[in-house]
Amino acid sequence: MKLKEDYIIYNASEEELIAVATGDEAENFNGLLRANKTAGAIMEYLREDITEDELVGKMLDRFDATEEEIRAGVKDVLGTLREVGAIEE
Amino acid sequence: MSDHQTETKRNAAIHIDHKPLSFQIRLAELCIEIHQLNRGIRHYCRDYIIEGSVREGDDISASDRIDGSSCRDDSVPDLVLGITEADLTEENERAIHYFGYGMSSARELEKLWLYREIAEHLPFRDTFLMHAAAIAVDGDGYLFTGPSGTGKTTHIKLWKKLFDERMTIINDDKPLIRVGADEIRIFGSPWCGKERLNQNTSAPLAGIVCLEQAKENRITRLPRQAAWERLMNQIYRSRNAEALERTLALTDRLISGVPVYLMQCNMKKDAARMAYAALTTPAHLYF
Repeated sequence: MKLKEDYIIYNASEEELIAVATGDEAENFNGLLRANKTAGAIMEYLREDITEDELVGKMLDRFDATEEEIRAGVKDVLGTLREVGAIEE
Repeated sequence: MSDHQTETKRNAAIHIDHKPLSFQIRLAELCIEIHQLNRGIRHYCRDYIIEGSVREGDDISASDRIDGSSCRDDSVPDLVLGITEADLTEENERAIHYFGYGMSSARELEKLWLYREIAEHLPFRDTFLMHAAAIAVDGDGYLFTGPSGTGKTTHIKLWKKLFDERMTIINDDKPLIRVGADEIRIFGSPWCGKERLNQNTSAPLAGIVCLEQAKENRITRLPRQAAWERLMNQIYRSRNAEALERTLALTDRLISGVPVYLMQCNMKKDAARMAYAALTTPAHLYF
């Protein structure tokens, strides 16, 4: 799975990223996604095709948290992204 | 059947009123050359037309104008626009998609098309279009924004009552905002709300108010993240990725450059007094 190409990610501050859709995708999603540092990292990894397990692995390397916490966080972010239709399976 | 006839047939429901001519307007300090197809566009833009730039007929190609007869000294227009009948059809389909019905007036479609084309180009000139009411009081500019129906026009009318001649309505619905290196400035535009409240003028932006209807009046400064969300929902989003990235960067500079407030308000005169008091209090004293 990966984040659709039409999504633009912008570093709004050190703590926060913002994602909006452009092109044809803007027809489907005209809202604004706000992500903290961790959710932002997940979105950055989703720029490339990646599986959920690989994503958890990368996040574990990068952030100091248990696998359980990371897995829950990844699920949460993926859930939100899928809800707005931002993921290509 | 010629291409022209086929196209006209497809547009059977759209009333085209041919009156080809070209003119240049100055909009947010840009020079835009418009080749109008339908009668009425020039009249709509009348307060923004560069003197001596109107040419009759449709045989004027953009390249003929590079003599610099009227744009900025010796320069070519920043943007040259002319709608085709195919664009009109597409614009009508877009209207059907968004509003649920088409438009019979080709002139209205041409206006919509022109402003969209302009808005698509603006981010490359550090400027963007925002859904807001733009005013100036004693020369300082303020923006009131919010979804349709939150009372932007009603609110600026309260200000007008309060400040009368000290206040100018720059544009009641679709002003332009230029985020320059040293200054953020709001500009008037012929494209505005139903009541045609606009003036060909500009002002340095001193503050933005996001409006929300409520029983009691209350105004608070919005933290950055909340400001982002409120403003992005009212700023024109380009379908071109590069332009949209630029818009995000400009919005960022806008939020860093001017205070953004949330105002929950009723539509009584006190609301205008309160908003003005908050906007003119130095930000560091406000908390």
